[in-house]
Amino acid sequence: MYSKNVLDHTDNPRNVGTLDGNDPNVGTGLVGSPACGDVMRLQIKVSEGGVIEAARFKTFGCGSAIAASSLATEWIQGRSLDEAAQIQNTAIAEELNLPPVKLHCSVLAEDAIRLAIEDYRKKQTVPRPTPGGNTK
Amino acid sequence: MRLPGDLFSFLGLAPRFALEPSELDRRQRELYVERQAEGSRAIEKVNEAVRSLKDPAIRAEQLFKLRGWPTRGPADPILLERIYTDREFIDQARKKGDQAGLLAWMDAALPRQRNLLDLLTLLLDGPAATIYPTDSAARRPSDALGELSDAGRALLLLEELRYFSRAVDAARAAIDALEDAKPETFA
Repeated sequence: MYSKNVLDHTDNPRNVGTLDGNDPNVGTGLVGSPACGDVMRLQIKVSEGGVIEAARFKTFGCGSAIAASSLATEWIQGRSLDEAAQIQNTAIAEELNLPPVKLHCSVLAEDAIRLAIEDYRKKQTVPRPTPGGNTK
Repeated sequence: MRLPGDLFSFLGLAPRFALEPSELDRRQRELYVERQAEGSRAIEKVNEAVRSLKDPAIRAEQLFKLRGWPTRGPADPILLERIYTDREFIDQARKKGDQAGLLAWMDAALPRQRNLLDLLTLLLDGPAATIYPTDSAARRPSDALGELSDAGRALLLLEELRYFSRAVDAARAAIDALEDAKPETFA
């Protein structure tokens, strides 16, 4: 029923885990699929140069949702934020050979990437406390 | 198999949320007799429609559609956070073999699920009555909740029911798995 790629990512999901959400260089995207009740959290750690140096995910849902988020973390590591933001759900679905009823899992992964990037960027606009603590 | 859009009228039932599985079973048996002449395809459709309507979330969705209410909305971030926390707890407890923790979660969860079903019954079957805020809605400013239409409130409840039911399923599966893993004891 599932393609080989899906099974591979389901049985050996890459990058399962958690990054410190309080780290200003970490962005978190939490998404859900109301149709099937799945929840997916994807986190990115961004280097000074704006490159995603680490990506982690935790997905509670079907095999396709786990595979889609696993593949998504694999694809975005080492990419710039702009490059990562361009990843389309259709590319994920194609790579995993998802059947039409599971297409929403790839949409979920795309949304999670987008929200993680948004969260990271939002954190960058908030002024960080300066070492030394001198305020005007 | 393509099912008709309105499962209630397909089964000849009055559209209502508080529908017991036994009522659906009874209607299913009646339809076996009534539609027997139409062959196995028709019977399969009846079975599928009955199976679908036994799921409270699908039943609610059907009633939403009859009213022209939206059945999908932007996810509520507070609800997602809470469900994620629940799912992570269940997952960890399963890995640690913490059956007592899972059972305690379940004890607290079932009234929560019952409450959601009651609220949806009130909103979908009752006269448009006062509706209590749900857990997730209670954290919103009360004036914002007051501004929500019946459709908006119902959608919040439906989303919560969908996510929460899956969490309950996961907890039940984890409890069963731990039960199976126990060494056999002989009396």
